[in-house]
Parts: sequence; C-alpha cells; structure tokens
Amino acid sequence: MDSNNNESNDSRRDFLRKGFVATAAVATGLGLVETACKETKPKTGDKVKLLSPDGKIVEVDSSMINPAIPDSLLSKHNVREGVPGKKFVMVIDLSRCRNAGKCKSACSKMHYLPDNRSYIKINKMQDSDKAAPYWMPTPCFHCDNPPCVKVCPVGATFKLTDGIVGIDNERCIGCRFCMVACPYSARVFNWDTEYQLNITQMNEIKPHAACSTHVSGTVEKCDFCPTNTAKDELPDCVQACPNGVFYFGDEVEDVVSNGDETVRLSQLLKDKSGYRYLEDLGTKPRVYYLPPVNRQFPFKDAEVPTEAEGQTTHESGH
Amino acid sequence: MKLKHNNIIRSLALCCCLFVFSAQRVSAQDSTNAEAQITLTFGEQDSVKQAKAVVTKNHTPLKGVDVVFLIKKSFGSLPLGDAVTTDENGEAVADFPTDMPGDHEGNITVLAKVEENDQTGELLASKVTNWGVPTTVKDKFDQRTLWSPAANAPIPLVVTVVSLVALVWGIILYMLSQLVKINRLGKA
Amino acid sequence: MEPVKIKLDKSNQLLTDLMPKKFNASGKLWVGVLLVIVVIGFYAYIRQLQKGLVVTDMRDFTSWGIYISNFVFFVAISLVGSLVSAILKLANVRWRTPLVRISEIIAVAAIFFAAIIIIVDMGRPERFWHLFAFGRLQSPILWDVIVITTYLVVSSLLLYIPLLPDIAICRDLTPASLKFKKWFYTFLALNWRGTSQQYALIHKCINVLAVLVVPLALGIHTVTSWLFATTYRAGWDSSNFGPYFVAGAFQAGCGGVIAVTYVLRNHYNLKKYITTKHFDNMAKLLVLLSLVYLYFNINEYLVPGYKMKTVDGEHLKSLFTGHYAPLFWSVQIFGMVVPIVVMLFKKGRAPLPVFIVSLLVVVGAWFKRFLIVVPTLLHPFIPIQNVPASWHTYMPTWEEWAITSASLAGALLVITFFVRLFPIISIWEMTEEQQSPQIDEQTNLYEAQA
Repeated sequence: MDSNNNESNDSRRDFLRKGFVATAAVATGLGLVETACKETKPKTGDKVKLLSPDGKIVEVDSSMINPAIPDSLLSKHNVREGVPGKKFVMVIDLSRCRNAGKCKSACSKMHYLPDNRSYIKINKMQDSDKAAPYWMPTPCFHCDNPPCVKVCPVGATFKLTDGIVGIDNERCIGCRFCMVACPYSARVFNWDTEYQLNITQMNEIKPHAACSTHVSGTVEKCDFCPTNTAKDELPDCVQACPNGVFYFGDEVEDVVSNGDETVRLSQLLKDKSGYRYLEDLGTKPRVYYLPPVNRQFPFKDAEVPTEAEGQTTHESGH
Repeated sequence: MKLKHNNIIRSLALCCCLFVFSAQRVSAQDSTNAEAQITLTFGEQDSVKQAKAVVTKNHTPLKGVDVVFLIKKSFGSLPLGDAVTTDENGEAVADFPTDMPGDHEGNITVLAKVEENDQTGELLASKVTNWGVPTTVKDKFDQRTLWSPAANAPIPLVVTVVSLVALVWGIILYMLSQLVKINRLGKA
Repeated sequence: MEPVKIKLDKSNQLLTDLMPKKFNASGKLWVGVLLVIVVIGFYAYIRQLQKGLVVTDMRDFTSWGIYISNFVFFVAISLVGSLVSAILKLANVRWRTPLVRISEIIAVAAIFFAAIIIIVDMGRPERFWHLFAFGRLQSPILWDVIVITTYLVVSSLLLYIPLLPDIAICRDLTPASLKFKKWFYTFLALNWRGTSQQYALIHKCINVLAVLVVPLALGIHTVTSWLFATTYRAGWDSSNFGPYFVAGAFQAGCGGVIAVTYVLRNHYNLKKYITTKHFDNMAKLLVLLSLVYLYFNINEYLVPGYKMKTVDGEHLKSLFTGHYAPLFWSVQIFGMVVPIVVMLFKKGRAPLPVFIVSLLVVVGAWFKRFLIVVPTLLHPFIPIQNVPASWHTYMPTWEEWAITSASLAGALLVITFFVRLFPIISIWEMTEEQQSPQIDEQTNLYEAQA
C-alpha cells in the first residue's frame, strides 16, 4: 500500500465514494464503481470541476475520473453528425403537466448545470382571460427551419442529420445573435467565467459526445441528451417526468414513448390534436404539444409566484 | 485501510453482477421447465396481413391466454392493439397495420408476449418480417439552404455576395493603384 | 484644368487661418478629459475580460444591451460622410466644401469605433478570427462585417485622397528641424507636387469614390437593420426597418456634423469660412431629414399600434405608457419634433440654436437606438418567468457605461487629433473655389463675410 498517501488524499477519495459516485453513477453506471476500486493513479495535476450531489461545484484531480465508455467509441463520434437514420421528435402532453419540475432537475443533473441555469423552462401560460392557465414546459424545439442556425456567423450551431440542433462551444464567438433569433427563448448564455466544463472535461465525466459544454462567453441549450439517444435511451427529462408528459421517439419509426406507453406518433397527434407552438412562424419545430384539455391535475400556481410582469419579484423556483 | 475499502466495493460490485446474471438464467429455465411455448408466424387472410401466435404447453394448445403483440422500436415496444386471448387452438391473431414503417428494407421485428401467469410463466417470441414500409430518410442535408453549413450556402447568395465584393474591392484596388500613380508622378 | 496655385507664404490668409494649430489650454483639458474616460473604459473592459460578460447587466433575455445600441448609433453617425461628401457633391451643392473633411473624419472615427464596440460585445473576442475561418455567408452578421470593413476603407480613402494636397502643404511648411513631423507628412503626402496630372487623378478618384460610397452607406444601415429585422421579435419584425434605419442615420449624422462643426468653428475661429449661412443651410437640411425620420417613426409605431397584436402590443405599451414611456416620448419630442419646430424659424437657424438642437438630435439618436434594441428583448413570445427578478429589467452597469463612454470619447479623440495634425477645412479646395471664376451667388459667402 502506498505509504505516502496523506490524510487529505484519503478524505478526498472518501468524498468521491460517498458523494460524487452517487451523482455521476446515474450517467456512467458501473464504470465508475470500477474507477473507485482502482488503485490511486498518479495524479495528473489537472483539476476537473464536478457537480456534487448537494449542487456544489467541486474540483477533483482528473486522474480520479475514468471514462466509463472507451475512448475508441468517443473518437468515432462526430459532433456535427447525428445518429444515422433517425429523426428525433418530442411530444409534450400539456394536459398532464403539473409543474412538478422533475424534468428540470433531471436535465440539470444530466448536463451538470449550475443553479441559475436551466435548459427546460416550465412556463405558466394562459391563452385568453377566460381560459384556465396551464403549465408549458419548453425545451429547445430543434426546428427544421432553425432561425438560430441561419443567423450563426461561424457555424457554431448547426443541424445534425438526426434533427438535433447542436452547438460547438469551441467555435462559438459569443455574439448571441442566435439568442435573439430564437423566438422561443430556448438558449442560455455563459455570462461568467466561474463555472466551466469544456468538451474534454465533460468526456471525462461521461461520454457526453455532442454539445452542452459550459464554456465561458458561449451559448448553450437543450440538446435532447445525445448520450442517451445514441444508446436508444430516452432523454433524462422524459425518464424523470412522474406524469408521463414527455414522449420522445423517432419520426422515421413514427413511434414515440414516454417510458410507460409507446404509441404511434401520427396517431397520437391526430387523436389529440397535436400542434406546434407558433406554427405560423414557419420554424418547423421538432417538438409537438398536445393541448391542455381533460387535465389530469387542476392548475395550481407555483409556490413562488411566477408572473409575466416585471414588477413581481421572485427567484427561480427549484 | 484503503485496500479494505477497495475490496469491499469490488466484491459488492461483483455480487451485483452475479445477481443480475443469475436472475436472467433462472427466469429462462422457468419457462422451459413449464414446457409452455409460444410460436409466432405470419400469414395473410382476405389480403389482411396477420401475426399469429400459438401458445402450447406440453405440445397441447392452451386456451384463454392473453397475448400481446408488439413491434420493437428504438425507445420501446409498440403494442399492436389490445391483448388477444388464445382460442381452443391456442391461437391468437392480430391484424398487422399496412402503414407501419420498417427499416430501409421494410423489416420489422414483431414480438408476441405473454405476461407472467401461473399456467405459462412469461413467454416471448420474436420474429422479423418485411411487412413494414421501407423508410428512407429524406433529409435536406446536402441541399443548399439558409441553415446549411458554410459550404452549402445557396448559390444565388454566394454569387450576389461574391460579385458585389469583387466589384467594390476592384474599385478600391483601382483607387489604390491611382495613389501609386500619384506617388510616381511626383517622383518624376 | 489649371492646377490650383497655393502661395506658401504669410500673405496667404488661408494658411494662417486653416493650418493645424497646437492645443491651447482648453484643448489640452479636452484631450485630458477624453483620455481619462478612455482609460476608465479600458479598466472596465479588462474587468469584463477577466470576469466575463457577467459584469454587464445583460442576461439571457436582454442578451443585447447598450453595446449593441451604441454600435447602431456609431453606424448611424457614420452616414454623415457620404451625406456631405457624396450626396451633396453629386447634387452640386457648393457650400458644402468647408464641411466635407469634418464630416468625413466623423464617418471614419464612428465606423472604426462601431467595429471596436462589436468586438467588446462578443463573449469570446479572441475568437474573432473564426469569422474569417468559418464565416457563413447566410448570416447577416457576416454581411455586416463585409460591408462595414468596406465602408471603413472607402471612407478612409475619401478622407485621405482629398487630403493629399494639404498634407503636402503641411510637409512644405514644416521646418526640417522637426525631423519626425517632416518625415510623417512626407510619408503621407505621396510625393505630391501639385501637377495638373496629379490634380486630375485626385479629382477622378474623388468622383468615383463619391459615387461608390452612396450605395455602401445605404448598405451598412440596411444590413445593420437586418440584424434585427431578420428575427421574429416584436418591434423588429418589420420590412420597413432598412429605410427606417437609413432615415435615422441621415438625421443623426447631420446633427453630428453640425455639432462638431460648431465647436471647431468657435474654437479655431473659422467664422470666415463656416458662416451663418452654412448653419442656416444645414439646419434646413436637418429639418428635412428630421421630417423624413419622423415620417418613418409614425409608420413604424402607428401601424403595429393600430393592430396591437399580442406581443407587439405589450412591447408598444411599454414604450407608449409603460416603463420606457418617459424615455420614448423624450426622444420622440426632443430628438425629432422640437428640432423641426425650432429650425423652421429663421432665428432658430442661427449657429447657437442650431448647435443646441443638433446636440438634442445626437443625444436623442443615441437613446433612440437604446429604445430600438432593449425593450424588444424584454418582450419575447413566451413571457419572461422563472428567472431572478433582476433579469426582467435591464439597467446598464458602470462597466457598460464606462466602456460605452470610452468608445464615444475615443471617437472624439480621433477627430481631435486629426484636427491637430491636418487642416480641417480643405485649403486647396477653398483656394480652388476662391480662384474659380464661376462662383454663383450661393457660394459667394466668403466674399460677403470678408
């Protein structure tokens, strides 16, 4: 046994076992247990930032983390190509959403998002004064005629063949034209230099092969969890939702699933009058909505009031 | 101390793996022990394509077993209607939709499944048919659109920008040449 | 055509009046104040580089702030170069001569700082080269980069080429003892000897550039307006945006050149060359341009205001009666209506009132750009929610004000140093006019003043 391992080193490993493993194992599975079992490798001195289970950012030596999926698989993945032969699509059933917020927290966990950032927004909507309000979760719509991709001056955001709109944070110049071009406010920006995870660091945590790295001064957004979809797993928001609000699938197969039920996409949209938000803009979103009729839950306002008007003060509801 | 921890974790992980592995084997043995079987065939009746599952136990047809027909898809299995109960011949039949997308050759994996019950245990048969509609992914990724990568900019746009830039910068270069001329005239 | 003969001795009143002069006490104070502002701006920018754009008050919804509105302002002001040196030239307006160089240096300084401020706005300024390495022709930003670069080059040529004879005068009048100064002017003068061939060449160049700069100037404003109009946002989604921006730029630029001209005229005692008649004429022009801009404003606000489509309506309400109403109405009234009314009267077209009105126009133009950029972003299709309260509003931080002020001060410094080094009124063109036999009544101002 290495005798020069001092106490602080030991306690760090302890922390890794108790905390970090528990968090990251969601994404990486048994691979990480193996990591924790391995003899301590020589430290590289490179620090990697991680999100601990209690939402804090911690720095650990990069030697403490092993990729759970071999590098050979990673290197094959081209960030500008999608999963071949697929066209991912999402259907969101508004009649089932009660603002449980699980999609948001699962997404934030999967993408290692800091506290003040969320790719999914759960908006309180009301179509007219007399209509009842409802909750509308909005991820990125991954439009087929994407205004954000059109305006990007450097090709830092682009369409993948599987329909996903990806981002290359190493290419992005931070002009934020895509943010003003997106009519759905789906994009968020890394305003500070505090919290950063580039592609290499993300890959060290898990084989997050497409986008959604956290690079200061660049734009990021929902990416339909390419790590999951490449393995035929549903995105984390879909899996996390307790009410089966989100259906996800492949338009080519004409089938979507919310984990519990698997249905034909065309039939679902036909039967429940599926629509796309702001269809007349012509952006051709890949996210459909089912109208909030025959609701499963009565509308209950969030504990922290969310209002369209600027005068109400509130923090983001967690 | 460290070694001990490592060993504990390692053996825990090993146990987990073993458990999962053995659990699978046990269930497989169960269904053979019961000698209940399900076979899946495809046929056509009155030009309607049908999937037929036959459930037997000890080579005798079983009546009154609920069979679910499913189509295997990326993110789950799509049921072909409600469960069908086997008749006295042990047969359950489901109509096959004519518009179900398959892979690029029209192949579809169909599953016939009997949920866990006392008589049969869990039964599952799967078979590939080419009854699906062949799908070809039509995408515009090679087309020149406004959202394409730089290399696929629409031709009219490229022509317009390049010709305007060439025209204006041609004039600018001409102006610069005039400055050179002015300089040379002064030297003389 | 006979080349202009410029006497290089003390008997030439033009030289005594127009040659660049050293800064006096107030000039030094002016430069000092501007330098301090620039230094503070630099400090703020270093903070921004270290900490990221979090030092600004821009957030996910107001993702563009005063950097972008300031950029649009600079682009607008720069139109003045093509207005005075090209459009008035092509229209054969001869009284423009003493104003040409002033407006051209304003144009160059403004468009230069427009380019700088856009880099300041970038989250990743060190990746600026990506625009050239990975540029997508489909993006309006790339069109803007192309057209602004081109306009900067053409404006610089339009400043430099007519300056050659005057640089030569500076060169010839600089004593050999001032080695660096002598070398500087010699280098820039391109062996100018004032031969008829050389004069023919620069006349040709000026004519070509004057024609070229007009479509380019329309181009930078139209393309800049497209940065907004190609999106779906309320208040930007307008097919009218190109001409609306061009009209606004003409008005702002005209106000800018009048303000700078007034200061230079008083500071360097150029009343003989820049007469009350100039102010009267420029004031009339400004009234016309303000009327045109007012027309576009009515068009831009009345038409959507008549319909009050949901999101448009919220945006317009915030401008008409809501949070931005005081600023909105101040800009509309003091930046457009008051100038028109004041300058309709002859007394209102005297130099001082025109100067004050021009300052109103320029300040109004700056805030007008703010009102174009910011309120729209606060009214997205899906109302802003689930974010901290501070994200619902936008109030620029001191860093943003410091950097923006520094860019404005920087542009003024460029103009100031230009005036220190070169004759701000073209000596050779004034000589040409004085010697020209066909001086019509309108241009006969100088004689009348003398």
